[in-house]
Amino acid sequence: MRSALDVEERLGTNWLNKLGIMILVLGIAFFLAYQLQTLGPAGKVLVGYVASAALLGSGIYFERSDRYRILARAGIGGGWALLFFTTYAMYHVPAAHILSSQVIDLLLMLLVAGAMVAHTLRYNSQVVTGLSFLLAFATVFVSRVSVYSLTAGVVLALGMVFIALRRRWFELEIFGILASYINHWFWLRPIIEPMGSKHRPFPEFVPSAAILIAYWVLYRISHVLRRAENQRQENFSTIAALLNTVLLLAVLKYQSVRPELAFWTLLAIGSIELLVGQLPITRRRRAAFVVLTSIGAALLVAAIPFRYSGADVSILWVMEAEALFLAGAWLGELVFVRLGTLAGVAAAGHMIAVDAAMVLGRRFDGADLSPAPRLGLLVFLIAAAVFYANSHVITRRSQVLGKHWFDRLLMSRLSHVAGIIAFVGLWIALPQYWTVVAWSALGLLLAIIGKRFTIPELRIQANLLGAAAVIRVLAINLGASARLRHVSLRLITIAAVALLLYATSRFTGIREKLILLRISDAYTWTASALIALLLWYELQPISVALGWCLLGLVLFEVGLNRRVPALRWQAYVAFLAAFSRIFVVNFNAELIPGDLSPRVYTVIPLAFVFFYAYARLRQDINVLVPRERSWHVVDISCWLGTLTVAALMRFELNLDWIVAGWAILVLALLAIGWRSGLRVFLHQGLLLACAVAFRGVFHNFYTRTYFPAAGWNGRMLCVGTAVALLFASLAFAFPLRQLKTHTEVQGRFRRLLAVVVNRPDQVLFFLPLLLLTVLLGLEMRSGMITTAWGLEAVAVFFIALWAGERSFRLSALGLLLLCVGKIVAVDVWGLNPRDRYLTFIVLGSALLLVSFLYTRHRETIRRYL
Amino acid sequence: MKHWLTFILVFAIAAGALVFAQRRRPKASVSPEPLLYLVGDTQRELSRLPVAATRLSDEEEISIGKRIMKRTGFVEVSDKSPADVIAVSNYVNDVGRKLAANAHRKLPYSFHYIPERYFANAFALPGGPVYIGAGLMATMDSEDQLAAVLAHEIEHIDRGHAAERAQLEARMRHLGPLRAAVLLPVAIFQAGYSKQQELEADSEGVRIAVQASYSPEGAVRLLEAFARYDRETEPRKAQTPQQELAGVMRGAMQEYFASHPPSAQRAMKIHELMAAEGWSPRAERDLRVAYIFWHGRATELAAMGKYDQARQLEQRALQVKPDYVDALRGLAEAEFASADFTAAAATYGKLLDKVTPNQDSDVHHYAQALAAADRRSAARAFRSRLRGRPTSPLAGAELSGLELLAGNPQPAQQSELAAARDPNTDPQLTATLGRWHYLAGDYERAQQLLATAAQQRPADAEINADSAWAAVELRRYADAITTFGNNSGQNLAARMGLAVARWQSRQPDAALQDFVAAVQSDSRWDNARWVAALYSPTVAKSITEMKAERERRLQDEERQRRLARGALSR
Repeated sequence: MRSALDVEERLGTNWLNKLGIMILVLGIAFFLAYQLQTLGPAGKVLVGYVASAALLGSGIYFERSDRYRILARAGIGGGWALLFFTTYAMYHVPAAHILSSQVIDLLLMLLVAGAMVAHTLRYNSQVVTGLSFLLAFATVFVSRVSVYSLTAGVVLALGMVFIALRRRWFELEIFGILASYINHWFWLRPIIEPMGSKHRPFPEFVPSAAILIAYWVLYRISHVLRRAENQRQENFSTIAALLNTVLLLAVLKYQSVRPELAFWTLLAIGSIELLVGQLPITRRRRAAFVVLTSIGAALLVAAIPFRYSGADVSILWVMEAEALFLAGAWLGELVFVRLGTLAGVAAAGHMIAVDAAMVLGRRFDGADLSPAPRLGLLVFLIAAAVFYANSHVITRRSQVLGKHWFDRLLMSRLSHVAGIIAFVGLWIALPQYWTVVAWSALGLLLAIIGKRFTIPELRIQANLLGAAAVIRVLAINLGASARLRHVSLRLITIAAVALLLYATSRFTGIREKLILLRISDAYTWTASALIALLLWYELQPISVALGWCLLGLVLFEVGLNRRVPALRWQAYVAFLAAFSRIFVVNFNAELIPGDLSPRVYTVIPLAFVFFYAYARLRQDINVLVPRERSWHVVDISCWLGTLTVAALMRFELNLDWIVAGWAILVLALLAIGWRSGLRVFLHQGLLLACAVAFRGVFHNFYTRTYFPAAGWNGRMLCVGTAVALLFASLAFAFPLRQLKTHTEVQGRFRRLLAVVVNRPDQVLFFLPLLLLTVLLGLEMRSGMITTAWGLEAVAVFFIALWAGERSFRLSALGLLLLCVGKIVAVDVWGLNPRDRYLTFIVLGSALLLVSFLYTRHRETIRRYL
Repeated sequence: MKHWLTFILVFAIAAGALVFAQRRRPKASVSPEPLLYLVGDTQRELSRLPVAATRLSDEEEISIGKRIMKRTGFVEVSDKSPADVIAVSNYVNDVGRKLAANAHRKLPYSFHYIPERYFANAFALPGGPVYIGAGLMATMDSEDQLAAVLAHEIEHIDRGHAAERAQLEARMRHLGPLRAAVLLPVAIFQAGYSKQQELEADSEGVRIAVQASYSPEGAVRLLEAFARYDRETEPRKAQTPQQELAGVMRGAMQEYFASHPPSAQRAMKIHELMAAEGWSPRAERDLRVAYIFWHGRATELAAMGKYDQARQLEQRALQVKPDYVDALRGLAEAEFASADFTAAAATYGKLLDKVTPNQDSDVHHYAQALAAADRRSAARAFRSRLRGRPTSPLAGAELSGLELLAGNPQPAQQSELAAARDPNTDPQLTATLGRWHYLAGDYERAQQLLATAAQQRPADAEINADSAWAAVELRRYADAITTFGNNSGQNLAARMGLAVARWQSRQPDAALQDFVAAVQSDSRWDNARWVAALYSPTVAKSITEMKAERERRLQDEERQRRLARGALSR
C-alpha cells in the first residue's frame, strides 16, 4: 500500500509536471514555426518571449515554496528552453524570422544558453538543468531547417560539457551525447532516406560531418579533462566515451556517400583515440586509458577490411595483434597484451570464417582441389607460429603475463586457437590425401614439444590432430585410387600416418588429467588398425591373411622386445583375424590342376608364425602380464597353429584321406610332445585322434555311394592307414604318461578329462581298435569277418604283451569271445562250407595261441596285474 | 641370436608366400562357404546315424509320396492332353524308366511332365514320383541332359533324401507319418536339399546314367550352362573391405539357405568323378522331343517380332519332325509376317495338304498369301490346291475374292446374291467377301458388306475394324475413328487404323502418338510390303508419311537438344 502511494505521489508531483512542461514548450515551439496571417514573425517572437518570461517568472516565484518546488523547477526549465528556442527561431524559423544576421542570433543563443546555465546552476539540480537542455535540444530538433541550424546543437553541447565538467554531472553528458547525435541523425533522415540504398553526395555533407566531428571532439575533450571522484562517475564516463565514438561512427556511416573514406576515417579516429589514450593527462585515470586504448585498437582493427580483403586482412590483423601483444609484453601493460590477444583471436576467426570457408566452398563439390600453399603455409602456419610463440614462449619470459588467472586462461586458449589455425592451414596447403600426413606430422611435433617442455595444451592438440587424421583417413584416404609413380597414394599416405602415430605414441599421454587412460596404447592400436585396414585394401583377397599375420609377427616381436603389452595384444588380434580369414577366403581358393595349391602356400606360413609365437612366448614367459597368462595366450598360439594345419588338411585332402592326414598330425604332435615334454601337444594329439575316430565312423564308414570306391579312395586303404598311424603313435603315448598331473580337479567332466589326458595310451589304443574292428566288419566278406576279428585279437594280444597293459589284453580276450559268440550264433548256421571250416580253423588256432601265450607269460602277466 | 634367426626365417617364409600369392593372383572368392560347409558337413555326419536308425519303411515312404503327389496341383498328362504334351510325357517316362532300372532301391518310380513353360525345375517326392518342368526341358538339347536331371532326382529318392526331408519336416511340425502325408507342403521338396545331398545326388545320378548308357558329358554341359547363367547374374566382385564384409554377410545368408551348390562346383565334381572312374567320352543323343520346345521358343520370338529367328527355329523343328503341323503353321505365319509371301503360300499349301479337314483360318491365310504373292495366278493356284477336297462355304468365298482380284467379279457377285437370299448365311462369309472387295479397291461395296456383317455380329472386333478401314477410304473419318477407338482393345490393327484416320483428318499430333504405339506393339507395320499386301494404297501412303514426319520431328528434337547443350556449355 505504501509503495503504491509512493509511486502515485512521484507520478503526480514529479513526472506529470515534467511531461506537461515538455508538451507545453513543444506546443509553443510549433506555434512559432507556424505561418499565421493575423500574427507576424515579430508578434510570434513577442508571444514566445512573453510565454518564456511567464514560465520563468512563475517558476522562480513558486520555487521558494517547498510544496511547489518540483513543479516550479520544471517551469524554470521549460521557460529557459522556450526562451532559447525563441531566440533560435528569430533567425532560423521562417515563421518567426525577424533577424537578418545569423551571427547576432548565434550570439543571442549563446547568451541565452549562458544565462540558462548560470540560472539553473543556482538550484544545483541536475534534473532542472538537464530538463532545460532537453527542451532546448527538442526545440532545435522540431524546427531544424538547414545544416547551420544545427549549430545551436553545438552550442548546447558546449554548454552541457561545461556544466558536466564543473559539476561532475556525467550522467547529464550521456544524455547530451545521445541528444546531439540523435538530433543530427533525425536531421539527416529526410536527406538520406530518399536516396535508398545508393547514397549520393549532398551539399550539406561536409558541414554535417564537421558538426559531427565537433560533437566528438567536444565530448572527447570532456572525457579527457574530467576528474572522476568515484567509480560510479568513472562508469558513466566510460559509457559516455564509448557512446561518443559509437554514435559518431554510426551517424557518419549513415550519411556516408564515399565508402572508400571509411578506412581512412576509422584509421584516423582510431589513431587519435589510441594517442589520446596514451596522453599523460589520460593515463592519470586508468579507466580512461583502458577505454580509449581499447577503442583506438578496435577501430584500427576494424579499419582494415574497408580497404583490404581476403588473406591481406588476416595478415594485417595478425600484425596489428602481434604489435599490440609485443608492445604490451615489452611495456608490461596487460591491456595491450589482452587487446592483442583478442585481436589475434578475431584474426583467427576471420581466417577460418572467411579464408578457410572460401577454400572449403571451392573444394566442397570437388571443383577445385588444388593446394593453396601461400594461404596455408604463409598465412595460416605463420599465424599459428606467432600465436604459439605468444602463448608459450613470450608468456614464459614476460614479467606480467601469467600472474593473473585470466591471462593464463587466455594464453591457454590462444594455444588452442593456434592449433586450430595450424590444423586448417595444413588442410589448405595440402589438400586431399596428403592432409592426414601433415596433421599426423604436426601432431608428432606438438607431442614432442609438449612432452619436452611439459605443455599440456600441446599434448591435447597432438591427440586431437591424431584423431582428426584417423577420421580423415577412414573417410577420404581409404577410398583413394590415385597413384604416385605407380604406387597407390592410399598405401603411401596411410602407411605414413600409421608410422607417425606409432612415433607419436612415445611422446603422448596426459598424466596430469587422464592418468587411467592409455593414450599411448590407443595410438598404437589405431596405427595397427590402419595398417591392417590398408593391407585389406591393397592386397589380393587371398593375401590379406598373410599380410595380417606378418603385421602381427612384427608387432609381436617388437612388443616382446620392448616389453609393450599393447603391441603384443595387437599381434594376438592380428593372428586371430588372419586365422578367421582363411575360413572365408583362403579355403575358397580355386585349384588349378598341376599347380601348387594356393591354399597350401597361403595357409602354411600362418601355422609357422603361430608356432613361432608360441615358442617365443614360452621363451620369454616372464615378460607376460597377468592378463596374458589368464587368457592363456601361449597355449592359444599353439592351438592356432595346429588348427590351421588340421583345417588345411580338411579342405585340401581328398575327403576319404582326411582321416589319414589327421592321423599323421596326431603322430607328429605326440612326437613333439614326447620330445619337448609339453602337455599342450598331447592335448592336441588326443583331440585330433578323437576327430579321426569321429570322421572315420561318420564319414568313411557311412555308405555314401552304392558303388565301390575306386583305387586309392577305398575304405580299407584310407582308414587302414589312419589306424596304423594311430597305433604307431602309441610309441610316444606311453612315455607321455609321465607328464600326468597330480593336482586335484573339480567337476565330473574335468576329472574324466584328467583321466583321459593322464592315460593317452588308452585313448590311442582303443580308438584305432574300434576303427579297425568296424572296418573289418564292413570290408571283409561276411564269411571272413570272424576270421579277421580272430586274427585282430591275436595281434592285439601281442601288443598287450609288449606293452604289458591289462586293458589291451582284456580287449583281445573280449574280441576273441565275440568271435566265439558270432560263430555259435551266426557262422555255424549261415556260412558256406569253405568259409565255415576256414573260420573254425583260424579261430581255434587263435584261441590256442592266446592260451599258449597266457601259459608261457603267466609270471609276467601276474607281475602286471 | 637364435630367436632372431628363427624370426627372420619365419618372416621370410610368410613374406615370400605373400609376394608369391600377389604375383600369382589365385582366384578366391570372399564368402563364408568354407565355414558353412564345415558346419553343414559335420551336422550332416552327426545326423546320419539317427536318421538311418529311424528311417521310414519303403511302404510308408511310398504311401506318403502318393498322398503328396495328389496335392501337387499339377494337371496329370492324359489322353486328352495336347499331342505335344503327351509326346514329351511319354519320352520323359521312357528315359526315366531306363534310369530307374539302375537305382539301388526298387521303388515304384514314376515320371511326370509339367507342361508349363515357366516351370524351370525338377523335383522328387518320397517313394518314387519325379517331376520335370517344360521350362527346364527347354534348356536342354540332348537326351543325356534329360537323363542327368532325372537320374539326379531318382537319386534323391534312392539315397533317401526325400524321405529324410519328409521325416525331418514332420518331426519339426510334430506330425506323425500319416498326417505328414496329408499336411506337408509340396514346396519343401521343390526347394532342394543340402549341398552334400545335392552333390551325392549328382555323383550317384551320373553313375546310374552311365550305367544306362548315357554320356556323363550331358550332366557336365547342363551344369556348365547353369554356371554361365550364374556368372551372368552373380554380384560384382568386391573392391573394398566394406563390400567384402557386406558380401560375406549376404553370402552367409544366401549360402545358408541355398540348396544347390554352385553349378561350376557341381560340374567340377562330375569332371573329377569322370577322371576317377576313367569314363571315356561318349557321343550324346539328340533330345527327341526338342522340336516341341524349339517351336515353343519360335512362337515366343515371333511374338517379340523376331520373325527371322522364329523361322530358323521352326525350320529346325521341321527338319527333325517334318510332319509337325504346329511348326508348319508357325513357319508360314513367320514367313507371311516377314513379307515373304511366296514362301508363306507354299508353307500354307503344305499345311493344307497335311491337315484334314482344313481349318478356315489356314485357308484364309493361304488365300491371303497367294494374293499377296501374285494376284493374277492366285485364284488358279487356290482352286488347284483345294480341288477334290471337302471345303467349307468360307473357302468358296475366299476363291470368289481371289477371282475378284484377278478381274473376274462374277463369282463374288453370285456369292453375295446367295448370301443376301439366305438369312442364315454366316456373317463371316459376308465379311470375307467385304475384305476381298477392300483389297480389290471397291471400298463402297466393301463397306456395305462389312457393315452388314457388323450388324449381325456387333461384338466382332475384327469385322468392326475392317469396316472402319473401308470407312477411311470413303473419308468417313469420324465414323472410322469412333469404330477403331471402340475396338482398339481387342484388335491390334485398330490402333494403326486410328493413326491413319487421324492423319487423314489432319490431326497429325494425335495420329503420330497412335502410330508410335501401333509400331511398338506390332513391328509388321514397319514393313511396307506387308502393309501394301493387306491394306489400301491410302493406308500405305499414310504410314510412309507418318514415318517420315516422325523422323523429322525426332531430328528436330535432337537438334534442339544439341543447341541447348551448346548454350549451356558456353
